Amino acid sequence: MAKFKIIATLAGALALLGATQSFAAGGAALEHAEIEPGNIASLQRGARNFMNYCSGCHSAQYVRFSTIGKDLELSDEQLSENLMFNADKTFETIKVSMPEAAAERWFGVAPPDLSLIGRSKGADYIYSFLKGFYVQAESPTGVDNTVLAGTSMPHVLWELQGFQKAVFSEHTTTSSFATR
Amino acid sequence: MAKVEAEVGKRPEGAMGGLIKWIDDRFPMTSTLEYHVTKYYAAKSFNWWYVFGVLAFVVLAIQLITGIFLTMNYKPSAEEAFASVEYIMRDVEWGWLIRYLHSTGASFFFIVVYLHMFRAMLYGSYKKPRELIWLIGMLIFFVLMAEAFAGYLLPWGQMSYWGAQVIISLFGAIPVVGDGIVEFIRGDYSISDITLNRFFALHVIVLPLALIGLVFVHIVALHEVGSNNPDGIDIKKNKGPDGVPLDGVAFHPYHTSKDLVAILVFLMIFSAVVFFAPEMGGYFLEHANFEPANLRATPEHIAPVWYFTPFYAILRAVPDKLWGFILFGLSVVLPVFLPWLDRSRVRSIRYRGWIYKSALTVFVITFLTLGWLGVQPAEGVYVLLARIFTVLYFAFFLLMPYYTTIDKTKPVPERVVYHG
Repeated sequence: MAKFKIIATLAGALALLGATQSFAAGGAALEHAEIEPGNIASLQRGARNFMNYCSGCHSAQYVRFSTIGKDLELSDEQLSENLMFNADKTFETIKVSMPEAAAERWFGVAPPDLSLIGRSKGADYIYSFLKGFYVQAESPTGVDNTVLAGTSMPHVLWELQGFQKAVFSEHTTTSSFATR
Repeated sequence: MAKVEAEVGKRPEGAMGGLIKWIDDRFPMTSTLEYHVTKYYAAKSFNWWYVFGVLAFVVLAIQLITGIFLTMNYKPSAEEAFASVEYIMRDVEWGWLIRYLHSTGASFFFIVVYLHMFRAMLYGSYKKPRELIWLIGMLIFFVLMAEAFAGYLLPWGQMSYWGAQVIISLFGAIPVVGDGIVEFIRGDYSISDITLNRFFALHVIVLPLALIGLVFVHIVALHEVGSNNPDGIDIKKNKGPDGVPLDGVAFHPYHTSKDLVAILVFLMIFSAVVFFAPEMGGYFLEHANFEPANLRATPEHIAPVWYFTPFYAILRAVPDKLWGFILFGLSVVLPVFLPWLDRSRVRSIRYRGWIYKSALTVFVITFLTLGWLGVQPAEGVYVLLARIFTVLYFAFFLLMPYYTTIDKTKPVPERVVYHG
């Protein structure tokens, strides 16, 4: 029976490995994002916010509107009236109207495609990044970010969040805000 | 009609009898089946360590079948590869399942193969007369490593690109011809579309063919000398009047029915990962690989997938590039020599002394720790730990002729023994 135990332990160890999520983060500690993948209303608000605040500069070139409609329980009419600003057919993906070369000239680096940002960086990263803008007079955009220092992205959500000032303090442990 | 049947004489029974006889006269079907399956006798005392060979076979089948369907939708070009993987994940019917089966299968291939190899070390399966089985097995392991390495480049993500960049450039440490070899492997001055194309060819044709051929030879060699058992004794020494080993039972139906249970348990664990944790916290599918390969941005940490990390840790433990490469290569190759490094008079750990038992325990801890160190940043205490465990890794193999000679062994029984 000892052999059973070994196999059970191995299986348990693998399961634990799967439970631990580790994302490499530079800069400030990441805040925990309370995401609810089962909450359709919340996902719909997310889609609305993405299309209104992000999709002007960021594409999600692998995401089809029809897939969003299916997953978020939206009809084709709802999709085309509320989410599809630069697309005609629901099978189209989320493209960006801004030419890439121009974007590179304006921002120094073209805004990345966000189809897989949740998988590569994780929800906590996105959440903390979006909340992490603070006033920085020397920056061309007037802001800097606690998560991604020196970002060329402006504070797009300022209408929703306002502008926050950074308060720096010396801590040996990481506080919820930036430590430098 | 009755007259004709009488003339045939030894005709096999049943409705298919005529057909079987017809084939057997032209092809050794029945005799081959009997030799390898229904009259292949393996010890009845097999325990759970003996299921991983069959499981490796199952994973190979999963990889081959899912691989076919991936190939139908994947585009081996630097321009399209990343997008085609996303196409498989999002647009191809059941494509996400096929892709996750394949990516999870890669990791499980190494899990079962490592456990399969560990079984050989537990019961001395590599010792005479099974040295050749072990050698072929090690060759399978090398081909598997190459297969996994080539396959990992194909999604053309950041880790695909930079992982390959790091590993291929290792060959540059070889004096004089190093740079030429690196160029030869890449087919270009950097990893490019050309590299991706040739890795695709290797991954879907050359290496799988080699793998299948080697697995075939592995099994033929095994059936020539017969399977080892947890007692490490020769079951062919004690045969009944019918010529069947007293401690053996036929592979089919006895071992196959036991294997079926193992396969079911395996598939439960396997599908749990496929459906609930295909990324395995970034160990099976690395987070950075969800970003397309970018030649201008190196990822913060470049870590190979978990199954290479023990050897990667050894590579990084050595401060010198050439010596790092040499020790890295040695650490992969050294197990080849186990049949000759191990001087013990007994095969199974059951009858070995405390020295080998301790050595094997330390080795397991060493291998797992090196694997863990391989994903940590190479700095501070991790470097020191990696060096200590590198020494222990090599000590296990290089001191083996000595400690297996002086180790006190227990008498080996005549017949198989049951425990628990």
